Amino acid sequence: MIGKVYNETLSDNEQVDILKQGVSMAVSGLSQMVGKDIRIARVNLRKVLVKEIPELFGGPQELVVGVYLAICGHTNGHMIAIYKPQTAFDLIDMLLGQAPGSTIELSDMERSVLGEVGNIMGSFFLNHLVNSTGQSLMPSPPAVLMDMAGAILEVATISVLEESEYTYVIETVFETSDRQVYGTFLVMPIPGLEVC
Amino acid sequence: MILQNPIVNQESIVVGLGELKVTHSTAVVLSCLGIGSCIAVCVYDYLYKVGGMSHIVLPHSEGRPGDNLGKYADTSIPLLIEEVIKQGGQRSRLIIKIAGGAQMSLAPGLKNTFKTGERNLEEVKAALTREGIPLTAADIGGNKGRTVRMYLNTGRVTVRTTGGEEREI
Repeated sequence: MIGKVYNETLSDNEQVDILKQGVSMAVSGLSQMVGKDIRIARVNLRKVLVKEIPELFGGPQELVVGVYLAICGHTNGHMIAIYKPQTAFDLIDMLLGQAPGSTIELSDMERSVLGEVGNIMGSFFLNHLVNSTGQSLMPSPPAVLMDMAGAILEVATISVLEESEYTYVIETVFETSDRQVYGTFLVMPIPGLEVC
Repeated sequence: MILQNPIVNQESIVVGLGELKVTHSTAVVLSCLGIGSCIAVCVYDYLYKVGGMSHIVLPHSEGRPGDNLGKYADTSIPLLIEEVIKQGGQRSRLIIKIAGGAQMSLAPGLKNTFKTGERNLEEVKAALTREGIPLTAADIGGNKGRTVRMYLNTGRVTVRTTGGEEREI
């Protein structure tokens, strides 16, 4: 069970709480970064068939923007924030102080901005886990991809499929009240995975 | 090439990660959706109109017992060919087309950057060589996701990338 992932001495419920609080920290990090009130619309921890993960994002062909970071250290895993392209463009405009609609594609500058968003979310999430469990966890540098959801998620799912058809995911949907910012933060804790 | 004359009542069957599907129903369209470093292998007998598709995820099964053999290049390809032959195909008539094997770019230093796409391609080609069946067409590599379809009425295989049109290979 996922309860054994981050600390053997804590109960399953305690660990699930820590993971959920970590996710909430990640979203608050994003909130501080963009200066908007972003709330968690939904957070689920569940066991899913790996091949069904793209269905969480509208199916494998859906065009999305993904910001990927690996979790390295005492345990390993994947973190991915997924946005609809327009939402990612809006986020970039907000962070660069540009008029809405300025960003229409991802060049190096835009990728770097989204990578920074990934860094903030990943670090806030892992900091909370580190503080709560005393274990050493680090995020990898971020990778920013815009492509079909299936192709982006393969980055994580292929390594999982080497070991198992199933995985645990923490799926967090976050949004502003006007839904100007809306996205999904997916965490797959996978102990034993050689990812870093 | 733009597709003409879509057949009526066609049935779309998705071949998911690590799956393998074979059919002799000519109304079927088999598809692998949004694949990156995975590879879609399409096998078709143009006379008996039987065909199949594998959605290969990893190169080697490394003899893992009880595992899903459709997932690996080295085990999926023999299975796929065997199944097409079982359903009426003849080895000498088989046409094989592949698509996929992109390199999704990632941060340096991660295991995932170990060229899964390239390794998959190498093993797919090696498995086809072992089977003694030449590759008829391929749309491989690059760094973009693909959707691959095979139309069982003609054996036509098409590839579409994000923002692009469906084109035949």
